[in-house]
Amino acid sequence: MLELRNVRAAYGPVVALHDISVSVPHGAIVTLLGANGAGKSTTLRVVSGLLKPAAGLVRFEDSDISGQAPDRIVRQGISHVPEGRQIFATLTVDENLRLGAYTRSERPAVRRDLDRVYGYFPRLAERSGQVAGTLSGGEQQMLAIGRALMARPRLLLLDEPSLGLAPLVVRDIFQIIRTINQEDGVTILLVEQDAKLALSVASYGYVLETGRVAVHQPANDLARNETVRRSYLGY
Amino acid sequence: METFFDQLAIGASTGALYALLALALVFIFRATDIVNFAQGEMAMVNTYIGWSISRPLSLSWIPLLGIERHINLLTWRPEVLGFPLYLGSESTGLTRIGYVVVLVAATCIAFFTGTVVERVIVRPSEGKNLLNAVIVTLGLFAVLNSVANWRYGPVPQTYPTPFRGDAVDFGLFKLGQHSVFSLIVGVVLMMLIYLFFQRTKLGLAVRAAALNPQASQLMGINTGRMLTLGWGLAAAIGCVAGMMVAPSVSGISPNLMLGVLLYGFAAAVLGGLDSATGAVIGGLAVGIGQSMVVQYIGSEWSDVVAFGLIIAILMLKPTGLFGAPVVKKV
Repeated sequence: MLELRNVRAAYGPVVALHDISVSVPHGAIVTLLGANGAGKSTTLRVVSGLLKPAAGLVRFEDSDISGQAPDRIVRQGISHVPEGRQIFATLTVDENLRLGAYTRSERPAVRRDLDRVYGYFPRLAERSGQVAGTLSGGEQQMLAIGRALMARPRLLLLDEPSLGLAPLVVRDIFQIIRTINQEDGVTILLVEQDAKLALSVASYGYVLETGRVAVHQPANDLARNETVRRSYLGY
Repeated sequence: METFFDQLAIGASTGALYALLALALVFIFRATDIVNFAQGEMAMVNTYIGWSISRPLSLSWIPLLGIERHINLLTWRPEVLGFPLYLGSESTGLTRIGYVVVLVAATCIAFFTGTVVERVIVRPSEGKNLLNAVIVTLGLFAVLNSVANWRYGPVPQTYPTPFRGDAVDFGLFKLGQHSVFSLIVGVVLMMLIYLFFQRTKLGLAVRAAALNPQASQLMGINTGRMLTLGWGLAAAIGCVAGMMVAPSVSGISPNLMLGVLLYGFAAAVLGGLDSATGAVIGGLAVGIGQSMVVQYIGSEWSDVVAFGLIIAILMLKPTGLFGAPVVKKV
């Protein structure tokens, strides 16, 4: 469904991705692992168009999307839950979610999806009129995911959904991620610090190291691979 | 006591115009962090355009380009749904309907020129050094002022309004017809702006793009287009303010908006440069304050009060009454 081939990307003079090839099959959850600065978030930014690749190819469902503007990429079915959540802090929960559906015009369907998101995250429904900046960290993460789902993506890019959250909240959120994947058939590319957690939901994993793919294997094999665990995943 | 209420009403009416200009400044500041010093001069040029549309012959449609116009609004008798519209006559000038038509037309032209200004002049300096962008707007200020001086001369031209004659008696106070009209236009426009930003999807998108451009792009919003739209709206709002100001001062001149811009700034700073509510309340406060100062202290003090207010607010509460606390962007 998504394929990155020999992608190179840089922030000014600093090369963040040297040569990355990643493939995400339809319906799967694929995870990108690795230390800080390995290039995980950068990879997502290249896919969603926030960063233009310097070289290489990004293909989504048979079309070349490399270097397209983010607002065009969303329309093709890719939603990005970015690093740091990036919710609209002074807008209400409801307004945040409606912005998620900005690309869509069919009101009844949007209405149904709003109910679906509120069904996934009842805490958001309780706070729909509240200003998003006043939500707790977990609720903000739920809002960021819910907002991305409002665009009805076929591919969801998730950047560090567990960051800074209490273990119980993390468990809830990962439960929802699994549901989104299995029941709604949304393909997911997941960036996560907590490798153990990520490998528990993913079917395939890539370990990045300073802008290159160090190892890639099915998630079960990665989880069992002692060397990989000790040298890259740190658990 | 009667004078007090009269002054209050006059203050509210000019205050509504300050509020409009302050709103225009706030929109652009929120979206781009740029203080648009050319806001007043853009309004002045658009007011000249409105003025020349409504004059009998001799002047050109697009005054700056010198293209001759073909329709004389004063003798034009269009029919709308079978009813003839009397926009004006050569001897008495524009009718009220004609005046409103000119106002709407000039506002539309202002919207268009605002978008062009953003695309052509401001866009190249956006997102780089803020100081560059501010200097660009200062330069635009100087250029527009000079062009108007060259094209129309420094002498104020009368700007006739059909809203003249006896003041309207509201019991508690009397208010000139044009002031009543300005107040109504100001309030209606503010309500429209409110509805646009609070109730429409596009308005929500403009707000989002101002808050967090990157996240907005991820929602599918073309943030560049939202900026252009924001500049167009700000120019249109400023134009309405200019068209309302011209008849109530000595007429239209290249320096028409200098004072209004100053008071609009005072209003925006008082309310907080990033708050629309603040701009409206700041505008009314400055307008009423000014008319009280003129009445009870002396007209020579009104500029001092406006400047004093800006300085005092910046010293005591830099974010203004309604502004969000300044958070340094990382």
